[in-house]
Amino acid sequence: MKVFEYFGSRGLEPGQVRDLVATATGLEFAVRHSSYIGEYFQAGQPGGDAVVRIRPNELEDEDGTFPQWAEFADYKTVVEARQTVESAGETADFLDDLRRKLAVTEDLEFLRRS
Amino acid sequence: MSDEVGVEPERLAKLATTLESLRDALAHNVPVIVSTLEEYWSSGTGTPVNLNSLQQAQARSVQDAADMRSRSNLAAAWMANPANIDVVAGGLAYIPWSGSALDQADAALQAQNLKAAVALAKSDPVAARAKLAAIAQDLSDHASDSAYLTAFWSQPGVNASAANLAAVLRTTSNGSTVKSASEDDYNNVMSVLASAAIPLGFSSRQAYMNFVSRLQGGLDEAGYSGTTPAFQGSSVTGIRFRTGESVGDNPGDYDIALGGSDLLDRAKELGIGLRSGGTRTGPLTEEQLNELGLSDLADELSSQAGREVHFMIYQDVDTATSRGPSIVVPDAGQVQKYYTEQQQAATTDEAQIARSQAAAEAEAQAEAEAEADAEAEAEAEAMMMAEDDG
Repeated sequence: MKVFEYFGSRGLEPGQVRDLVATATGLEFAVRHSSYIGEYFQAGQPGGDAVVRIRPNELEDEDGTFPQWAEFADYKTVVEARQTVESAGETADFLDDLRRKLAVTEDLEFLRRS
Repeated sequence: MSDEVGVEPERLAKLATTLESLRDALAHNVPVIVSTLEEYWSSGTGTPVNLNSLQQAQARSVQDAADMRSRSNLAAAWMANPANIDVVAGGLAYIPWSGSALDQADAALQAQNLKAAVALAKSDPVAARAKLAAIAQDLSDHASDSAYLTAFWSQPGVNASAANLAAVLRTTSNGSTVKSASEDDYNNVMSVLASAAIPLGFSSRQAYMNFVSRLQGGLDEAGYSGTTPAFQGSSVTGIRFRTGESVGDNPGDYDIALGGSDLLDRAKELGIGLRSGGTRTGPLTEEQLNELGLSDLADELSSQAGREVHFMIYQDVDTATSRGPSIVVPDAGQVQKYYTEQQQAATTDEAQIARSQAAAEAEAQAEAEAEADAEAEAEAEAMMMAEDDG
């Protein structure tokens, strides 16, 4: 099963958040491009068990701008972390460690885990 | 000088056939002639002459034959449709003769034929196969004519028809599955599919077919079998949308539209926000994919492709393709499945035949041995009787 965790920054751009998260966690982020999403940053292999993505929450298309995560509409940048675990009882060690390291980071708020 | 010329459709067809024969003869003989003469001259014998004109004639014959076949196709199709005939001018139909106008018109005609072939398969599979073979031949003749192929694949509905091409193979007149192996069918379908562009970033056509086969299989397993995927974005255009820079062979992530009303309905049920008047979603987050039962598939495809895969849901694939450049994926899984089944059936038949032959041979051998034993026994008996008599 997959466990998701979200952090948000109200004022920082994705590139600035990438620098913050990389410094706090030691994770290495690669810049990625999608015509749907735009430029974003990712740590972890495509399709891997643990992935962290730093994405702009405001997207734009021919209809105008819209938030990728409507529930986090006040946040300019969202950090989406995901860990795949075997069962509901298993601890999401990677996400626990990530939250601990990011707790000291100003400008980045924990939003939710699901 | 007039820019019009009057021709009879039947004569055009004959001319096209003649040019195709010439093309084939040149393709077969020119390399042999050139190679033989060069070997002859390199040995110091004879005086070399310039063979460029012969090679140019061979190169040009491909396009000439293809163009004439296009004109013949158009002439026959347009004369068959009363709407195209100018009665005032004495029963003429006007067709474009060359250039992009000819490409566009013939490509549009073949796109219509493709759509008709898929529809016809349900009621008359034999006729559908004939239509498909003609389309495959035309596309094959234009294999090096990118303008023609682009015109063909950009016709409305052609991608959707191609996605359903396997139906032509699988359907019989009573609606059951085709049983007999047909390599021709397979080759014709693959000729059509292979003429389509493949998204950037795949190392080979086989890698692409493997990817789309898994994509379609995963959608089926998740309960969205009526969904047609289409690649969009830089893997199709070769250009990064927001910056305009060329992506080369590395298009970044794969952005894939999923066209299907069942899937869009499920997204609505889950409360996923819609765009463009409710005809599509935005790009799906991984959590939304998880709710839709598609996140494992996205992971698997991302891992297979070595790049992230993003999905956006549309009410149908035509809505997706009308929004921007797209490559609709062919129904590769069905084509491959069909062919594998046919190959297995053929292998099974061969094995059964081989077993039957072996059994018959063994039986014949046993009979021959029994006969030889009987003869030997009779001979021995006769000899003993002769000895007794003696």
